[in-house]
Amino acid sequence: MLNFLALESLSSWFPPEASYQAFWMDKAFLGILVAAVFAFVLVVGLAITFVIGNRGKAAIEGQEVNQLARGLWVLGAVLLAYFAFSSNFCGFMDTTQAPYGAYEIDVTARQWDWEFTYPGGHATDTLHVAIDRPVRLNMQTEDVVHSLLIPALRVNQAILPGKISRTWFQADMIDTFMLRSSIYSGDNYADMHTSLITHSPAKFTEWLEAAGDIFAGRTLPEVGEILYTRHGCAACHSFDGSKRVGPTFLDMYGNTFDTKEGVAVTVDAAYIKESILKPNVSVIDGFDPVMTPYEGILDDREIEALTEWFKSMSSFADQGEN
Amino acid sequence: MNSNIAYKYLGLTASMFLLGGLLAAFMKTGAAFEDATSVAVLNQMLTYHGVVMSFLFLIPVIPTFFGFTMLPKQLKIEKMCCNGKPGFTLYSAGSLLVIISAAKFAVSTGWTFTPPYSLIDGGALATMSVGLVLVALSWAMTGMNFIKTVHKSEVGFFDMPMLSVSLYLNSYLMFIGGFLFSAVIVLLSLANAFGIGPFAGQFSTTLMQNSFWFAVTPLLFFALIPAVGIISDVIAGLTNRTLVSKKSVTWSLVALAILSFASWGTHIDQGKTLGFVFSAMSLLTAVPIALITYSWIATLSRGEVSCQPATRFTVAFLVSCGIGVLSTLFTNNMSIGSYLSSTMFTTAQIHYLMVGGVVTAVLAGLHFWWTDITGREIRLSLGKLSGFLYMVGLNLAFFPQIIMGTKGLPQGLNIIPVGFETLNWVSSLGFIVLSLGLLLVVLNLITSTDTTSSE
Repeated sequence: MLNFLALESLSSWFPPEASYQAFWMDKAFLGILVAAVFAFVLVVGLAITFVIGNRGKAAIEGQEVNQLARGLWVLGAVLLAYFAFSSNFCGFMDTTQAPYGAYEIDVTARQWDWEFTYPGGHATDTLHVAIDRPVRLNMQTEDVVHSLLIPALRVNQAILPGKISRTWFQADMIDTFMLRSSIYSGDNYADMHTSLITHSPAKFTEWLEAAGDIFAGRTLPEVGEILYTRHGCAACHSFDGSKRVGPTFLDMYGNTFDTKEGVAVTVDAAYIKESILKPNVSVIDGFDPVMTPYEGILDDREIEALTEWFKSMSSFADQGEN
Repeated sequence: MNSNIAYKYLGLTASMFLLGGLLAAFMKTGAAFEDATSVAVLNQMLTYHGVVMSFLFLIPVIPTFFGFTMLPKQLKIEKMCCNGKPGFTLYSAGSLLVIISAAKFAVSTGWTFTPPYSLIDGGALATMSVGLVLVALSWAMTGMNFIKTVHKSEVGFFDMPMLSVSLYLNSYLMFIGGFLFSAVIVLLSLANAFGIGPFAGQFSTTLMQNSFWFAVTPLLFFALIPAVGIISDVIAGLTNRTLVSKKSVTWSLVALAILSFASWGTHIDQGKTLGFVFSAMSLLTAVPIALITYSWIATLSRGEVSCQPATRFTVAFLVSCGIGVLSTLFTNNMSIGSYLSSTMFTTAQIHYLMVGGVVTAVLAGLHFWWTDITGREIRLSLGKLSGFLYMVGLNLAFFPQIIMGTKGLPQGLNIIPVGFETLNWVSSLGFIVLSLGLLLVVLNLITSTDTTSSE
């Protein structure tokens, strides 16, 4: 009964509980609060009672100590401290390790804003998540120490330079919540806040598709360059003419090469499409057939964007058109 | 003989307290009237508030005044081992440098100097660092002075009154901590000015934070040891008998002094395993704290308690320091603690412990021993009124911050976010009442009448 009443009145004290982790933490907080108030009333109440109530009373002589009372007093304090220490220990262990298969979002903190990058490579300045699904944040700072604080989820994780700080949560309430840094980072630290927006899983997919449409407002070569970064092409292909595991993209479109079999091919849209989807069929001489096929990863429109990008940085561009 | 230096120290520490308090007042008004003061200046004020209050006021306040006045009295000796003048010179020169640094190279790193932010502005920490090192050396000198004085006296460790015991133990913390703190500040300013040393690297944050808190925790948070010493003696004096089970309180203070070097870790995000170790370690402090409170309550229970201003301040100490100590139950819990770290909850906590603990103990001691020390009589009714205002103001000022913290308001914001207006208003009102109470205390002490001449 007491528990229920206190929870009711605390609901206006605390931020909303937007995850089960927040719910368990609040329960632990309440438990410790009840114990602490009891200890406080006992100590201060006894002191005030004696200060006021002993007026005019004769002093009790002697220095003997009631060993039993003192022992119980110390035991009570130790139990109180242990109770406070161990409350919600399982909840704490739960927060230290995200469940397998959690949705991963990369977070970059810098003076003085946030950037959230989703698995598709799309980046936003507000954090969007789906409810009822574990979300893991892999957080890095570009400059000084920051901390990601989301009161509604009871998440507050410091982000230290030079390492990836991780935290995770599973929101269960659809709303917009405060998200901010909680560690002082200089002049505009107070402005370093944004929102956490939670969606239903279906709405989240919709949002991500709409927001993640990289073609909106961009020319095809621009989209091509984004795809180049996002799909890690840079690991094997440069676009400045230097040779890596695979051929460079500079001056490639429209140029003519010999394949391993000795056949001369001109790089055109059809050859590029084939080389992306089935890369190891016709390999240019001097390179090994080691590329991962991108069939099912890149669609026709994206391949077209890449082709336009190659075209934009090739001096043989007109020869590919024939 | 030593009281002259004690008054100089009291004057200087009180001025530092006034300075720190004024900075807090400016911050509060600056935050209320946005655009009136630039954000950069507000951040500098926040930094200087922390530095001045922690290093120039809280750490030296009890040892310097009560050490130089009460220690010779309690140990029944003619004079201290050393006259304390070199220490005072270092302390005043250091404080002056810290204040001068505000005019020329104002620091806005926050008082905990967390890198890499504190390293960005190359050379900015130089002036303040020299000042802080001088101040830290003065702590070490004062500590050495007290240790030697106690060793020279005839009184045994368990026969000393509690204030002397606590000052003796605190002297070791000041001696060791003074050198540790100097080392941390020197290394920090090397990293700041020349980008060299252990605190300069990319991974310096954790190393610097651990070193800083290892040096500062015994000095700052365990400035509560002499505060407990004062309250113990005041309770014994108010009830006119020796403390019940005094030996257990003495041992408790020894235990706290030792534990002070093992409890720095709870201030920093330590990760799972280390966090567990540090949290478990600070459980141990429950035993000495329980023994001390048991002794106080038992002493108070055994007869009439004299009703005077010091009684009010003693009750105020139990209330506010009690809230401070109990609030550590929340921050010591690993899940709640990680949520509340670096929020206003921790701001409220440090203020409850440092103002509610250390400052209240100083006021209790001043009111209780004023006649003993100066031969002047304070006005009882004014003392009781100031004690009441002080206690009400203190709780009005800092309890709203506890609620702000649980609502997820981070510290050091310098703005009043939407939804926190009422709490902030109550807190500001409390600040005014608290200041009024302190003003009455100062008035009472200054205008106290000379009993020797009137009779």
